[in-house]
Amino acid sequence: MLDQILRVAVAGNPNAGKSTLFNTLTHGREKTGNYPGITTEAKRGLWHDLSLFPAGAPRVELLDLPGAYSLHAHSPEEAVSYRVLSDGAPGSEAPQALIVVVDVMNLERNLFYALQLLELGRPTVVALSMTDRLAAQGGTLQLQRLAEVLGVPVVDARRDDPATPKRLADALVQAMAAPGAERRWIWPDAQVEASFRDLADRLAEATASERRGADGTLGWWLSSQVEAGEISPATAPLRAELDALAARYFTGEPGVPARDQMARAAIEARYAWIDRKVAPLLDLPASAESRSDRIDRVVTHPVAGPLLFLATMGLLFQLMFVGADPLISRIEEAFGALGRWLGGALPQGPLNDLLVNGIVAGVGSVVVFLPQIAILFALLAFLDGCGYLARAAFLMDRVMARVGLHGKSFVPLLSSFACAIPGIASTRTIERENDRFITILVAPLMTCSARLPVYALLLATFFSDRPAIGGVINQAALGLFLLYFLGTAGALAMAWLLRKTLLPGSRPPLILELPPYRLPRARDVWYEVRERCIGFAKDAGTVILATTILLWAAMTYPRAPEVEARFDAQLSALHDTAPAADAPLAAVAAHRVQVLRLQQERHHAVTERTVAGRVGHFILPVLRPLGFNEQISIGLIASLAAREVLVSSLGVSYGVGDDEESQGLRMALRNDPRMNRATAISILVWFVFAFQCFATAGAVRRETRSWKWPALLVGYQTLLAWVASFVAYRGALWLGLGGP
Amino acid sequence: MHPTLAQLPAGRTARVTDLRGCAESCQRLMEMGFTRGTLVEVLLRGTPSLIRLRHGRVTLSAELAQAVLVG
Ligand SMILES: Nc1nc2c(ncn2[C@@H]2O[C@H](COP(=O)(O)OP(=O)(O)O)[C@@H](O)[C@H]2O)c(=O)[nH]1
Ligand SMILES: [Mg+2]
Repeated sequence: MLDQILRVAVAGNPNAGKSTLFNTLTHGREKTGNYPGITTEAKRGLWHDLSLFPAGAPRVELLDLPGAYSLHAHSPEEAVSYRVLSDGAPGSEAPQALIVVVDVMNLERNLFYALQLLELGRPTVVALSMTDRLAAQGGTLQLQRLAEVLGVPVVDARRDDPATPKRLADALVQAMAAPGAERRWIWPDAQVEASFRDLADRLAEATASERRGADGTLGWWLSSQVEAGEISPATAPLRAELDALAARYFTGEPGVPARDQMARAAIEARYAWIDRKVAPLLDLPASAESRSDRIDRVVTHPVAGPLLFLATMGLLFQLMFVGADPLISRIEEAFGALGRWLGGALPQGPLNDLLVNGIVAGVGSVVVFLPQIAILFALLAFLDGCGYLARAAFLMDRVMARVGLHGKSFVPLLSSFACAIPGIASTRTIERENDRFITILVAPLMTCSARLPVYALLLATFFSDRPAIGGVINQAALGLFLLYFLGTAGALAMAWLLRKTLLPGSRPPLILELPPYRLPRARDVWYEVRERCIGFAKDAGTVILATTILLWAAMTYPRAPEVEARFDAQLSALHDTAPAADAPLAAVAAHRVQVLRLQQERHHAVTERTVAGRVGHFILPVLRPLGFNEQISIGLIASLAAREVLVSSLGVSYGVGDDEESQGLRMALRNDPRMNRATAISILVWFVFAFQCFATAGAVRRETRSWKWPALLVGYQTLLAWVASFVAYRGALWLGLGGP
Repeated sequence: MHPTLAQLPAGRTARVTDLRGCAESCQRLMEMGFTRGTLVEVLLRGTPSLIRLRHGRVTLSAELAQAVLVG
């Protein structure tokens, strides 16, 4: 009994308050480890306060399911809920009981899904959220009567009441103790009901061994077989009977298939039941929605709405950059210092090199992403909790429609400004597969934070000292804006192209609920941010770390000891001829230049022979039309670990420090006769479009369940980058930017 | 022929009489509360439009608003 676990799923409509309740009950202590069949999509956690349960009771494990409007799943996110709830295979970890969260301010529509869940016949508690809002607006609900009508415990589960966990625990114990929930059904016609019940019983028999969920609960059967149209082999023969029944009873509308009519009848029967039995129990004054309505009058206004939206996005980016910047440089410094310290403390050799340049650098390049990801997701979680993101999707729908997408693609693309990987994961709310895949395939074109160090270095080196345009617009700042614009425009254009070619489809229909405005709790926002960061470190971090180590090896091996020895001898010879400290300045400088040049030559000679050097050399002819030199070519290979690695890679290959702030690298780039504004533009455009992140390919593979789409992503990004860079480079040369 | 939700001017209230020509989406509309006899109010007309029903607000793209017959 002691280590027995009672698995309880928290289910309900989107925005009903599920995550809030989950966090309250678990104290945000999420359990890692996967639920069978689903990966990271449903959160798990243990009920924190055990003292609320009788002694000897099993521990309660809660599962925070994604929101859904129906068991008949329309989006991959809803499919997760359906899979978990309908999973009845013996030995599976299907939930044994349910907590259905119902928003009292949206009672009827929330109860539709709740009724479907009650039909599953599992022990169930209905948890009413937003009862504080109901009271504040002078509304009342006859809670006791509702419990009688529904036949399961109903509790007030308002967010900020310390007694909420106790009430839920008591109700859960009560629900578990109740004799098997009564099979309820909703057909208004007794004869129809009898026929279906008979069929359902036989269906249950046919599937009992396979799916425990079908143990006679007509509702489950109806939801999965009728509404979702899903058939298991065992039930296939009964399908014909079902069709016959449908044809017998649902023939009211000529031209509409009987099965569709039956599905609709099932939905209408539930709403009719709710209207008849539940609606009279709720007394909500007519003015109840006014506050959200007043806000919406501004937020969705045709003129004020878009302006407010632009202002919000502007503020979001401002906070993201300004807030993350100091943290990022702090992290870079810390990892730099750690690397230097380790490099000095350990004996020289390949192990030292692996640790410093492979592992520490790799972990560092994962951690530098976290500030921007954390800030962006804190802001997104806040805006989502408020209800603003749904409005943003509403406002952006018109823009997205131009390229064949709908408003729900907006949030994934916005997230991709921090990193495409969480952006790609958040496409799961998009219903149709083609719409979702288009969004996934263009998200990597949005300017993620990894591109920024590269942009910063090249813009600062080649443009910041140019005269401001018209005396006011700084060229580097304008350049940054244009790069963001180019990425976004590229993403939209690619979406349009994919829609016209590989992933055709009509304009996706948008159905989106706009929840009332609410102020989210700080701790819920914090839990969300923590989860995102951990998720990123796990998903992207491992890939980035692995590629960094692999690329470190490719940049190091095979080694050429005789070449190294030759250069080292020359270097030490040069060292011996160093002019004295009091020698003329010109002599000291000349000697210094000699040393630097020799160091560079040594670096080139050594990397030339490594795997990366050979590959870089091999692909150079393809990149030469873009104005790229050998260092850039090798740097591009190194930056496959993470884009910002280009900076340190260039630093090393020019024999100067590997820090973007370093004046040395900027000087070296500026003094390299092969580098000028035209080549800089070419590299920048390359970074806007090129595929440079294996972690992204992994995320695409996971979400599309095929290697075909990541392969397409790599292909189209590379082609697009080449063509765009070529055009940009030639254009820049034509404009005369090829000179010093 | 009944008018559709897309034809109602903003501020008007009407009852849903039927859903036409949107198989899969129609089912979702119904699940979200657009059942026959439901009272709906047009808050904003256009693409997408904003509808109030059963104490909630839902936005619909034009094609879907056209699928909802009202009377
Ligand atoms: N006033 C009030 N707000 C709540 C209550 N429960 C949840 N919320 C808020 O409603 C919003 C959506 O809640 P959330 O848990 O994210 O919904 P989910 O989509 O079902 O997980 C958040 O801003 C919550 O803080 C409640 O009982 N009262
Ligand atoms: Mg949630």
